[in-house]
Amino acid sequence: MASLLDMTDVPLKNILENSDYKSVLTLRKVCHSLRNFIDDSCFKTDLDYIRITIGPTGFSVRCESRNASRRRDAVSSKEWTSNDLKTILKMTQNSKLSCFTVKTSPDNVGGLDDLKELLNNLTRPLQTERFDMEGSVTLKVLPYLDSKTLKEIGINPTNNRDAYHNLDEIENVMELEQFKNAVELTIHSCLLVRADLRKFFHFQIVHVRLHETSLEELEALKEAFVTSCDMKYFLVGVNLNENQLQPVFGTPFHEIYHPGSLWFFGNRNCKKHVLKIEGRTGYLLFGKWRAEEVPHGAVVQH
Amino acid sequence: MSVENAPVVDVDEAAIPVEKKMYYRFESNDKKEFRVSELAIQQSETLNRLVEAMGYTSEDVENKPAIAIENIDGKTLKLVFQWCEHHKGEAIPVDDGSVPKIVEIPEFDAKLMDIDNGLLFKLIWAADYLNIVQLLNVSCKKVANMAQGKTPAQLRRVYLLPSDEEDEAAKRAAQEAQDPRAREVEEEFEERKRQGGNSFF
Repeated sequence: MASLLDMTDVPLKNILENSDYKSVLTLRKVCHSLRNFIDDSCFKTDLDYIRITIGPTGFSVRCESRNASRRRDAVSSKEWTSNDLKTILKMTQNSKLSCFTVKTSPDNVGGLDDLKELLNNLTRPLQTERFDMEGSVTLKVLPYLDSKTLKEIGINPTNNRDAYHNLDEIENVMELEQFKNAVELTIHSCLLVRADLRKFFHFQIVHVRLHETSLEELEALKEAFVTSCDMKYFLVGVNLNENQLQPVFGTPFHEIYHPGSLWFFGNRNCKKHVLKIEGRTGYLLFGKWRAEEVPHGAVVQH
Repeated sequence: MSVENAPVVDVDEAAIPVEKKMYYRFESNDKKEFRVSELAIQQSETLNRLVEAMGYTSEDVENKPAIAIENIDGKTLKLVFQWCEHHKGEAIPVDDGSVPKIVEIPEFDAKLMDIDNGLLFKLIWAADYLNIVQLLNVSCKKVANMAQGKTPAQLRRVYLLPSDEEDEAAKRAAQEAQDPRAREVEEEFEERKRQGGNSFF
């Protein structure tokens, strides 16, 4: 009698691509032959999100697929070995994730290096549109993600979110293709970045707190915004007051019931939009606004 | 159109529809003959190329022997041609890379595939061999649906798969059947070892 294993690779691959990833993981446990086929062949899965938490004795992994109704369908597993992790990463390497998250615990021993090696050994780099990780160890994972697919990078603090601390090795992260090709960057506001703001101008959306920001850098950001059609939103953590900003941005506009200072600049390449700079205590927000939304009485500088 | 009404018939079982369009004759490995319309054949890339290469006229189709399909039995081929006749004229789907694949199983196909799993696997094998893209998609989708929510032991029964132990035993048996001398050599080697010899040669 014919069985599933009598088929050639084409129908077997077709069956796997018609199956959800949970069924594929179960199929791996059926027999050696099927496990070998699943591990050795290239097929796409419906996996959409993977979150790996590296603990002291192993990995906790949460996987989600996106089903037809756009709802996520999750499976969480604890105490995975690096072999289990290898299986899921190999299965994923022909698909595109919407998000890949790595979390570490302070007492993890070697787990991060195991993950780095697994990612490095994939036939092709892991494809994900978003990547989230803690700042100090981003370099262990980010270089192994597909730079053409990655669009959004999120960098978070390891534990204490209340106190400011420096984001180490950001200068090395900024040299990566993954950083240069991404369009959105979110660095948690408690992480201080020592870097030239001009290195961030290729992003469309940025959240960053700089250790020091010069007026020249802020003026350069304004210039980049008023000539770009792509830049949408920059939140820059700075401690400069209205008077210190006047030499570069001019006289601010104040709205009634609005506590901050506002400046508006026309976009030279996109007449429908203006740059709105909003100064609040501790940060400056640069945003792309529709020209008709400029409040009555405000001056749009050119 | 229901499965029963599909225009695929065994030559010796029913009358041949008298139409101007050409009906090719195919024969399964158990000598069952089928008449299949030119349009239905287009669903199979393999058969379509074959009949194009043969360049048969209407007379050739009647006078020459039926085209033999040696790897597929009559029961399976009947399902294949019923499917092709029902879907004749439909566009051949192109893989758009979407995952999971967006495959709907129409009512006719679901009824056609309401068969035991052994025959279903033969149907998939035939769809792959004859390169019938959409039949392969719907039959693989049906097999994939069967896996949902099942344990490995249940899947082993559903997919007619051996356990690892059975798999190993089958491999050993196959190896021995293929090379009976290997077993003799092994027995001879064991015997010499028992007699205290160090070298086999």
